[in-house]
Formats: sequence, structure tokens, C-alpha cells
Amino acid sequence: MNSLSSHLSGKCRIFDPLTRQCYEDLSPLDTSQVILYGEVHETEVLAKAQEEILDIVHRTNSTGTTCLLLEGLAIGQSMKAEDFLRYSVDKSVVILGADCRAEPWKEIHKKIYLWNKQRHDLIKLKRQKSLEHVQKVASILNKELIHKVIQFTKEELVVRQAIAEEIFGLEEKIIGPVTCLLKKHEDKAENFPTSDERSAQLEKSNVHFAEQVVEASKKYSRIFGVMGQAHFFLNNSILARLRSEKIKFSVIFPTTKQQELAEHEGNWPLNEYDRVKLRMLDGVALTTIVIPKEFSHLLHPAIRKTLSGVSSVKPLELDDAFFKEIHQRKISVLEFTQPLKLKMPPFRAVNLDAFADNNQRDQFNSEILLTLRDYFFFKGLRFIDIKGASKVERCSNEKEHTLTLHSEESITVQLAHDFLITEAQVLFDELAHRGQPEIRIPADKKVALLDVKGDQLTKLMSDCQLDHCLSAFAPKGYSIKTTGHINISPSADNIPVLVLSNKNGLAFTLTHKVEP
Amino acid sequence: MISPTSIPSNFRILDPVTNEIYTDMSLLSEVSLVILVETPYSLTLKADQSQFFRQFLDKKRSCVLINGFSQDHEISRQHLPYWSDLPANITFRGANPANTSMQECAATATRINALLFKYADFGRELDKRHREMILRLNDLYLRGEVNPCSHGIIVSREEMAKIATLGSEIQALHKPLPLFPPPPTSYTSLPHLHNMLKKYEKVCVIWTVDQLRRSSLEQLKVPHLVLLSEEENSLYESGLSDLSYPSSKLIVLAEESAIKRGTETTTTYDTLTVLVSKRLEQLFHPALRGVLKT
Repeated sequence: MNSLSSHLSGKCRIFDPLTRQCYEDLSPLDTSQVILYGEVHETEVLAKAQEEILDIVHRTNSTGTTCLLLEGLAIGQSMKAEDFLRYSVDKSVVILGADCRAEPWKEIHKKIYLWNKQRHDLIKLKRQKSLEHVQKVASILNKELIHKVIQFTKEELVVRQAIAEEIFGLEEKIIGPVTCLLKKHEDKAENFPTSDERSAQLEKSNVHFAEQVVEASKKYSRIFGVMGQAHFFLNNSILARLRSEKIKFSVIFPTTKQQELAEHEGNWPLNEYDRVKLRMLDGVALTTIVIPKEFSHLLHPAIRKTLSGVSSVKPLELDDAFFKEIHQRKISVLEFTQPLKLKMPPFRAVNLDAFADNNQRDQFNSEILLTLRDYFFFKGLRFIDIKGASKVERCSNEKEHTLTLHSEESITVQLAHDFLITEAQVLFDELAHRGQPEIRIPADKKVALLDVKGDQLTKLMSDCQLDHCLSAFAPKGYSIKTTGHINISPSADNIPVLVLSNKNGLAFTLTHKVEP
Repeated sequence: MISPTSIPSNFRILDPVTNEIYTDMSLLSEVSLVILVETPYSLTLKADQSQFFRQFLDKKRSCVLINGFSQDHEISRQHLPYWSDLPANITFRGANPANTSMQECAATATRINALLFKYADFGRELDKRHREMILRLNDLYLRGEVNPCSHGIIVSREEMAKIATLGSEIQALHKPLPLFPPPPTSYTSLPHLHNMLKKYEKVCVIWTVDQLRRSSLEQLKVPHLVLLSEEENSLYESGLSDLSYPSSKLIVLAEESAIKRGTETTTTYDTLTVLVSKRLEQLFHPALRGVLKT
């Protein structure tokens, strides 16, 4: 049991690029020269986990040198183990930069790093103090409840005046000092240069990172590359490049528990954690305190029922019943007066650059429109247009991929029921991701596959081998089988792409390709 | 003062009125009676309970009321080997109405203890074999030799035979183990609880969910808390004796025959259903995990 997988058992999970999900069978690590770690940036829980994993990866590498490839360090730069401040690394590990977006490491960066580290320590302390605060509040209120000296109105607790006063002063007493320290610390950052635009150019950085891995694989027997998880959710360019070079690799993610902790921890530096309001009436005045939602489980369920969210408008999620009605009544224009949350097909993961540029604009870029096109495709509708949305929020993780559309007034979506439009690749990738090998298209509904065009379309029209042609768009290792009485035609609204029409229903089935 | 962090993290406080849970363990210092609700027959849970008793029953005169013994019995530690190292200030007494002799109770306890350890061994073996099967299926999947489909997974006839053999081996391991006796259904009478609270400063009683449901807690005159244990391991271990541990179904298909009529081929499949412990689900490759059925 000296394999890398047995040493790392329970310390990480393998990320499957096709389904964008993780699993705990680590045996692929035993044959991997390259191990890529998808992290949530700047969380202490993951820094510790990473240190341990790298140490094991290095110690079990008996055949040569280990290379640590880093996001955040410029391409071509190396770093001594003692200069790597995030966690301790064995001196014999070669540390190299692989980030085309990073500036060359200078003395000022060390200062910024140390300032950031101190800021994180303070934020961590603030989170601890916040937990302590909620524990204290919960302890006081729960005890009142146990001794039956607490009452409820619909949205408030009715408590004794002394209790309201005690709770009111707690936040200042427990969290106040650290908030003050944090404020002083933030003020010291005034002269630092503004941070680089790292969240932009994600796609470009993937291409360069892959090249650095390929280069390093020629020199080092084991490579440990660290990147943010968004890189792996964006596209498969790194992995495709490594496959083309026949490099054995695995992508690992933190364990489920670590991931959860890291996501909670990671929201604090951005001040983006969910909060809830607790309102207490003491006969004279109304006292409101705001607490982090993640700690609200400490409160008795009866008290928890009176909590209200800090953001007042909850986004609307469109469910199956909603779409059933849309189809039954053939509705083609929808108007929404609240934010709209859409669960996205992950293979239409939207380029982050687009959001960085367009968040404040009134217009959507083409990536977002394509995303909406594919969202409605899987709901059996053709997306035509959207108006009124002013801001887009994207959330992508291993559990779900969502797009939330916000509006100043209302959002109008225009749809059509006549035929469906998407790309063959998106359709088949999504089927593979869902682990649902088949999709059925209702009778009399045409399907246009926009990426089947040019030479492929001409060839298809001449020899009519539809399954063979579509299989070229399937994920690696899969082939496509179509069933139903299908008519093939080469255009949709005069665009030369593949259009399939059918009288009695059409189905696409994804099957594993059996290699001869 | 009990530190919330010293209580095993799988314990939750249950609000019997709303049936919802919360986690404020500071309340433990407010009450002298705790009702622990358990799914019986798990060694992992016994270890967690032991840690809990150390923290909660820190006073000189404390008592744990044990299911399966009559309420007039004081129980020696030899009948409770998993708690034998608990401090001497904790007394163990019977929890059920007095209608069974000490000898009978002790004999039952000895039988249960022996079975607990045997089932823990069986659980480890079951885990090991399922783990091996999952890793093999993952490997075959990555090599294109296992196909997920909407019904389950399609494997070769050879692989199906291996999986069927695994199933019979597990049956053979399980078959010689006798079942646990059913847990007592009578719950501790409230007068008995009140009596114990006069004698001891702190009291813990262990009930099953069924006993909790049939009790009249609202008639208890003292502040008390109901603690639930929701740990995956204990649920798994508890379900081993009747193989009712939380599990998913994996349907395995292997081609039986393929008949060609013109251009169409009709294929028939043999099927086999395998139960896999839910806690091992994450070990499956996501493409295979997607076809598991609950």
C-alpha cells in the first residue's frame, strides 16, 4: 500500500473533466506524471491541505525531481522554496511560474503578499469572533426559550428588556476590536499598485499554463500544478493539450468537506457571505442584529423561523411545472419582475472575461446569448431575444452552474415553439454530463445543429451517414445513434447548417464507442 | 461549563415540537436530563456516546439508563465493554419497566455485545469487497469496457459473473450471523426518570426513535434536551444485521442474445441488482454514479 493513491486516500478527490464532477477513487494518480490541483484561492484550509498533498507527491517521487507550477507567478520565473510564503515546501522541489497574466515577482509583491496574508489572518479572526458572537446570542436566547420566557410575533422575538440590551452590546464587544484592526490595516494599503486583471483572460491563461506543463513534463518526473477551479470549469483546453502530448495526468480537487469550508472561508475576504436579520422587541424598542447565515443553525428552530434574509428579493427559479405550462399554452413572451436564476448546461460555461467587461452594460455579449439559447433548447424552446436585464451574476461550481439575471424594472424573454437550435457538441456533451444517454425531440419539431456545416454538411448530404457524421461531435469515447424518421436538410432560415425534421419523434442516443 | 467543541460533532439537538434540529451545545449546562436518541447496534455510536458521557456527566453523581435492563437493576461494566473505561462516578442502571430478571438481561447483553463486534467485522469486509468492485468498474469504464445506460451499466458476461459471485460471497458472510434481538419497545416511565433525577445530579437515557415518539415528554417537569445522532457510520452499522443500511441500487446488465432482423438488431439483457452502501457512492466515477438508483 505504498502507492500515491493510498497515501492520498481521503485527502482529495479526482475531478472528471467530462462530467465536471468529482469522485474518490484515486487510482488514476498512480500512473500520473502530472497532478493538477484545482483550488479555491486564498483559503487557509486549502493551503494546509495543499502543503500536505505536495509533500506526499514529492516524497513518493523516487525517480527524479518534482516541479511545482504556479498560477500567480509569471512564466519563466523560478522561486526558491524559502521565498514561497504560502506554505512550506521541500527545498529540492523546483518552483516555476506558469501564469501569463502575472507580472514579474518584485520586492513590492512580497510586501503586498505579506499585507494580504495579515489581512486574511484578521478576516479569519473576524469570522471566529463572529461565530463566538452568534454562539453567545444563541446561548442567551435558547436558554430564555427553554425557560419559556420568550414569545414570538410573526417576524420578531419578544424578549425581556435586559436580554435585548445584553445582546445589543455583544457585537461591539466581541467583534468590534477586530473590525477596528481590520480597518486600520486596510488603510495601510493605499499606496499599493492596483491588482492585475487576473480574473480576466482566463481562457488565454489556460493555453499558456498547458504549454508550461508540457515543457516541464520533459524535464521533471513529477509535476504538481496549482490553479483556481474556475480554470477547469471554463473549458478543457489544458487537458486536451496534455492528452495530445500523451502526458499522463490527473486533476484533483479538495475533499467535499474541505471544499465546503473553503467556499465559506473564501466568501469572507470578499465580504460576500450570506447574512440574516434577527429582530427583537423588548416592549420599548426594536433591536435588529445581523448575523452570518452559516452560523444560524445554532439558534433554536423556533427562533430561526423569525430570521429574514438581508437581500429582500429572492431570484425566481424556473421549474418543470413552469415549462409545462409554457408548452401547453404555447406562450412565447415572458415578463419577469424579479431576478431570474437559470440552471445552466455546464458545457455552455460562460467566459468570465465577458462578465468582467459587460456586467455594467445594458447589452449582453454573444456568449451570454448562446448560453440562453442552449438553456432554452433543453427546455424544448427556441430562444429569440431578451430585454431589460441589466446585470448578470454567474456562479459555477461542481454542484451547479447558474446564471442570475437582474433588472432595474423587468426582464422580457421572447421564445418560439417551432424548432430547436443548438450545437451538436453542446447537446452531446450535456448528455454525457447528465449521465442521461438519450434525449427525445417531440414529433414535428425541427432541430437545427449549427456546428454541422461546411464540408461536413456537404459530405453528409452526399452519403447520408448521419450517425457517423454526428459522432464526430460526441465526447471522446462516445458515438451517436439517431432514431426516428428523419429528414435531413441543409438550412435553417437560409443559414447552411444541418436541420433535422421528423414526423413521429426523434431521439439522439449517446453510446460508448467500442474500439476495434 | 461544557465546551461545545468537546461534544462529538454528529450530535444535534432535536426540538420535539417542530422536529427540527439545532446545534447550540451550550444548553447542556442548563439541563440535568438528556435523552439520547439512537439507532441501536453501532459500535461507532457507542464510542461517540462514551465521549459525550465524559463531557456531560462530569458531576459526582451521574447515571446512564440503559435500554434492555429492568429499571431496578444496577449494571456492572462487564456487561458494557465499550464503556468499561468511563469514570466511576457514572452509574449504569436499567431503563425499562421491571419485568425481567438480571440474569436474563445480562445474557441478552452478552449476546448483543458479541454480535456488535462480529457485525463490525462483517461491515469492514463488506466495505472492502464493494470498494474493490467499484474500483474495478471505474477502471473498466475508463477503458471503455463498461457502458452506462439509462437502466444501469452494461458489462461483459464475465464481469457480470464476477459481480454475482461477489454477491453470493457477501451472502455467505452474512448468513451465519444471527440477528440482533429486537430493541425494547417499552420506554422509561416518567416517574422513574423523576426518581432518578432526585438521586443523581445528571441523568442520560438512551431511547430509540420509536420510544421517543411514544413518550410523553411534555409531561416531564424538568428542563431537558433531546440529542440526535446523525452519523453515517452508525446508520450504516445499525443496518448491517438486516442489510437495511442506507444503500443505492446498481443495476448490472450483460448481453444475453442479439437477434438481427433486416437492418434492426434486438438485444436482450440479463440483469443483476447490487446494493452498494451510500457512503461508498462518491467512490464511483461520476458517469457510473449517475445511473445509481435509490
